[in-house]
Amino acid sequence: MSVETTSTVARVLKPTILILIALVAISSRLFSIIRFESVIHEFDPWFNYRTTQHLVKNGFYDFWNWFDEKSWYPLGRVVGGTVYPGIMVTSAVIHNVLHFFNFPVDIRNVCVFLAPMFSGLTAFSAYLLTKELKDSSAGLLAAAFLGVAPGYISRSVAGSYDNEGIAIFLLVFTFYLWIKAVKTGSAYFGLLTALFYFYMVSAWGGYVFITNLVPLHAFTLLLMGRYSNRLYVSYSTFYAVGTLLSMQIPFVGFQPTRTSEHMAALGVFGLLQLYAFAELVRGHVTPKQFKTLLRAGVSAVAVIAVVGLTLLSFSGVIAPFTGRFYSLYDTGYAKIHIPIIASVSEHQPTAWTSFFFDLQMLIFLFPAGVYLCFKELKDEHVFIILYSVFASYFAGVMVRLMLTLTPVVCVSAAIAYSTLLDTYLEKSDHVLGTNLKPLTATNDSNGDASTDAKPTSNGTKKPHSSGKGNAKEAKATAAKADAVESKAQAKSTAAAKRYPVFNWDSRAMVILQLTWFLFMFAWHCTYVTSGSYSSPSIVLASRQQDGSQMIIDDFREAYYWLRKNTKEDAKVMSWWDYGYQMAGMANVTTLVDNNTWNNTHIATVGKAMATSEEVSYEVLRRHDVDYVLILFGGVIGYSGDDINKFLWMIRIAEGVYPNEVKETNFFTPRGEYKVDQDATPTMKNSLMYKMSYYRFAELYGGNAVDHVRQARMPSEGPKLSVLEEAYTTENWLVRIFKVKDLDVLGRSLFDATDFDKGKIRKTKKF
Amino acid sequence: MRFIHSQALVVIVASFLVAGQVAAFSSPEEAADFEAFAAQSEFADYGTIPVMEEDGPQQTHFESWSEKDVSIVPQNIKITNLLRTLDLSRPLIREITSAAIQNIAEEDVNDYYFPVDLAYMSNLAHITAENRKTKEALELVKDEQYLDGQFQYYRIKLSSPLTPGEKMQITIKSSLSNIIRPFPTHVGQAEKQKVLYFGNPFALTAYPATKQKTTVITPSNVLDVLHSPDEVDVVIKNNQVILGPYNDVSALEHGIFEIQYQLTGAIQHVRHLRRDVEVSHWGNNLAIEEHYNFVNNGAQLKGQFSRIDYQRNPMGLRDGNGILGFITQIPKLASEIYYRDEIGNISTSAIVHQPDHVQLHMKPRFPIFGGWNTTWYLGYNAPLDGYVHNVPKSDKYILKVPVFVPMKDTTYEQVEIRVVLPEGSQNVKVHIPFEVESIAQSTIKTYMDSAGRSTVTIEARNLIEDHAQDMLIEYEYSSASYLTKPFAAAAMLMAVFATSMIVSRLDFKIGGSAIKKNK
Repeated sequence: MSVETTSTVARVLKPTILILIALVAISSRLFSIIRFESVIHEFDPWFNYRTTQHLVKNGFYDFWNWFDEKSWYPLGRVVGGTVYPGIMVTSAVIHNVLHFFNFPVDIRNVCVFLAPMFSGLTAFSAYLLTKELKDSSAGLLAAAFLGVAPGYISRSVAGSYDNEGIAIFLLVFTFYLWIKAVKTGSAYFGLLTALFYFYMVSAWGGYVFITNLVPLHAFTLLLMGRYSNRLYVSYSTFYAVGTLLSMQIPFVGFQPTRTSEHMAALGVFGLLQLYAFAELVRGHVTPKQFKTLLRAGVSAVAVIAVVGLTLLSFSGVIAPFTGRFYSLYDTGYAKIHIPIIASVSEHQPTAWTSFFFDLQMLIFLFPAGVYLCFKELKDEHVFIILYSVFASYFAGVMVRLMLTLTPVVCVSAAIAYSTLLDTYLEKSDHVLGTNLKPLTATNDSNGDASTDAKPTSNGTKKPHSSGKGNAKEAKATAAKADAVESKAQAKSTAAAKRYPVFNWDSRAMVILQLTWFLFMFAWHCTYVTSGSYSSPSIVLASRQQDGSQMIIDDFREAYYWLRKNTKEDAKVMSWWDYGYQMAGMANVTTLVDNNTWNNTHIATVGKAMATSEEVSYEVLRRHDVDYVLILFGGVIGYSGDDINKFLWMIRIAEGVYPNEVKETNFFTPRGEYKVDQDATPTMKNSLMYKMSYYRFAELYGGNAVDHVRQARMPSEGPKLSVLEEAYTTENWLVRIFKVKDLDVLGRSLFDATDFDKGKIRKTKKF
Repeated sequence: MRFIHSQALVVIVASFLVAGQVAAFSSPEEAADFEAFAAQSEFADYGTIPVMEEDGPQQTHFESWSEKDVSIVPQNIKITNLLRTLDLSRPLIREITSAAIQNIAEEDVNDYYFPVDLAYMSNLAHITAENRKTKEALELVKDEQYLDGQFQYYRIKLSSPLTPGEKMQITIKSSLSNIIRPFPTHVGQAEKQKVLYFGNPFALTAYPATKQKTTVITPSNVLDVLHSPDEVDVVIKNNQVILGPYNDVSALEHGIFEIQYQLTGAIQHVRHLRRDVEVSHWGNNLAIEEHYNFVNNGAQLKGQFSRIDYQRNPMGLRDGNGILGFITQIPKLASEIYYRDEIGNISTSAIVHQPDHVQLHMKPRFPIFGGWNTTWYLGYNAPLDGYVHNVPKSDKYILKVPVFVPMKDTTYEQVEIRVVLPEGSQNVKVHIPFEVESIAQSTIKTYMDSAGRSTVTIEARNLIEDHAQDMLIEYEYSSASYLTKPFAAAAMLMAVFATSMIVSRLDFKIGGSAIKKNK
């Protein structure tokens, strides 16, 4: 096949493959939709969904100024100022565009399918990024890997309408633009980087990763002596525009100038200016004079910077690192200081098995890819190395940050895999024709490599001294990357230092094995996606003995009951985990929700749950609570229920009310957390315990067994006086209790309940 | 749930049986006695109503009562005998008035007037009249002209003019909704609900009646009856109350009659129903979607719902008024059936295939006790073939669909029906077999529309099962309109390609073509 034909075929094949990859990426995320329904499946995204609905219904400005009086009662929440609006605005724009063209797609469907659609785009940006690093065949591999890697799928299945759904695309695409900007030194790409950085800032708190990684890259290049005008132009454009833009998001506001997380970017920006200035000066003075100037300048700047930063930090102008940030540094930090962060499962350190679970073969190809980056070590490879080092660390610290690691793993693995393929798939005559001598660079932009294509200087290291030379080379690289068909290019990257492989059988062994890995990878990804990441949280599905599906839909049963059959401004107290969902599905006022901004308020709810009826009734009345909602898994064995979360409530409450709630009182003398007859009196008197087991024993005629904790319950269940059972769902998963009004006869509610039960209380003798 | 419905089914079957008997009796050879006929035919399965003698002992005259002003209606008819049956066995009250009338004027009489108290006008869901002998339906006209401060008179056009002295028999069937109210207002979740009916012991007539009698049928034993005037004893027998016979009742006579009885099951009420019917000639598809806003108007739940009591005694719910499920019918060939609400699919539904239709068993997320609300929507697609007929050799099409598909024993307060016709339909005409509030035409734009689709919006109030009839919508749809859609789609793609062509040729590079393209 002639090279022209090959390149024409490649030209058609590449978009086709990319489209197919995008389709695979989208369709592998649809398991939960196909098995269940097109609905927001997770708990947290209900807030995003609710705000998107508000945005679509009331317009952008109303959304911006929205004061949500239905959450954090009685405090409320300024939604516009405390939210990353990227995902909502994205969906609303898509929705409005579709409606403009008379496609009346429901906003729900836009939200449900947003993450899968963006995963297609993510795959495409992985292709672009990898193409910049190696070549388009590696790019295609990276796209395919990222399209189906479970580490990314875990947060982007259809129905999980979370910020990460679009943020990963933005992350990868911003990095691609950044690399492109550094490579070309073009202000245009620098600007684009800034624009997408802005989009990223508007979409996810993880933007801080970009804020730090890009300056770090610039700084490292500077340390490596690779300062260039390209770097100066791209970084200055990116930082200036990007920072100004990011400050337009109310939630971010002046943080870029005031918090420690953003200081690195500012510092590097200043450093680059100084460096550029020094370069300028160097051109105009003699080397000796320059040396003196430099010494004086560097020390002056260093002193000013250190003194200034210290002063500003101490005076409070620059905010110190936040707790979440510290917990990235010290994994034990949160547990001791901020139980509320530690109580979230996705903030836990990652188990090492989950690396394999989420990335399978990519995880062992990953170091090889990083190694290959070291071998190349051009500006963009430095970036990938930095990215992989930091992302690996963060992914090890927090389960959730596996997300940021996945793209770089896919990219590196694709580089490694593609290098292997290049090495072992070459036609022998190519290899035979390979010239092992050092080769000269070719700027042949047509890439009209004959059968004995001349490898270019891509693989050889050249000193990166002058900006001009770099620009030239960058152009050459770009030219090759774009046009030269993969085989010729593969040769160019690796052939120079490699001995040809002759044997077909040894090749076949490697290639077959690699193919087998690919099959395994695809199988694993599908298996993990289907089995672990596509089971919705709002419905619990199980198989019955006859194989038919049984759906436990208790959450929605309870929420819909609340939505339809309580008064419009009913205040429902529950643990914060269910706040967003309740606001979205039940449309009631909640006291605390997943936006855990006010620890005291959460602790108050924890206190109401953990104390006796007398104490908590006072809290309930003071907060105008009408209903209390709890999860109870004892009947069907749902382990994520409130009794299991109770210890966190106690801990958080103890942090604020140490006199009223004590964790030790909930443990038996033997240090056990018990709910059966051995439970401590404090436990038995706590509102949570009483609500959970209220009339539970009667269900089994006095022989009730709590299926979560495998505890045999006492036959006499707890009594409730200040609450009455309002609704319990079919499988008892959600129990709603109504807070009683004050007794009309002025008795205490305990007396009134006893009286209603026919017991006569001994009256005090006068 | 199944049980409640089987009960409902029994009632329905029973009423079918009754209908069959009516048909049997209606043969012209049968010259049955008027009273016996009425008593047996209408509610034969509730036991025989004792036949009153023509000149019974309980003759009472109400001449002392003030004569009502019926001057608005020509007094050319005398009612010789009148039998009214008030069926309270279901939440929807059926009133059947059979009147034997005689022309007492000198000339022919063409119309019979039937008064309805204005206070009950909003409850009157459905009314029909027929010639009792021939079963021929008579035309009923609600005329503004015959409206005084208190009554609306329905003008019933007699099939043939009544010559002087001639007699005939008329049956007027009316259905009244939302008229009973639960008392006591609150019941426990497994407790039997009691309701009150308040009404007139007399059949309201525009003409004096020589004799009239009312039979009240309740679903269970009558608990309490209050009535006035009390000159005539009421006969209470199990589940029947017989009022009268009253002799020489003047026109528009009224009194007080209140009855309390047990009514098992819910009082189902749909506050608002929106039914969308979308016709697509391209897809050969009829898409139907119905949005319900539902409330159980039965006695409210006392205290709170207790799951454990319910689980320990699920059968106890038979007695209570909680609703566990609904059954609705959808066409045999329906596909893509869905049953959802504001927060997603309601996972507890089942489809049962019947020989001629599909039954959709819908179980709401939670049992609906008295006073509880819920909303849901359901939809499906059906092939268009059975619904649209092309008038041969013309562009004219006729769409024939049910106005709505009612659930049993349910009242519908507001019904909004939207029929979306294909884009380009013209000259839309709507034929609905009953009176509606408004019919409006507009256009809406949905998928790939350029001009918008003609839409007919019909609003109606207070509908019941009796309104479940077909409506006809006639429209013209030229074959040229068929091509609008592909042209629109093609034009849109064309626009996309043209834009991309232009955009790809734009060059904003500083320095222009001096810098070589990196291609």
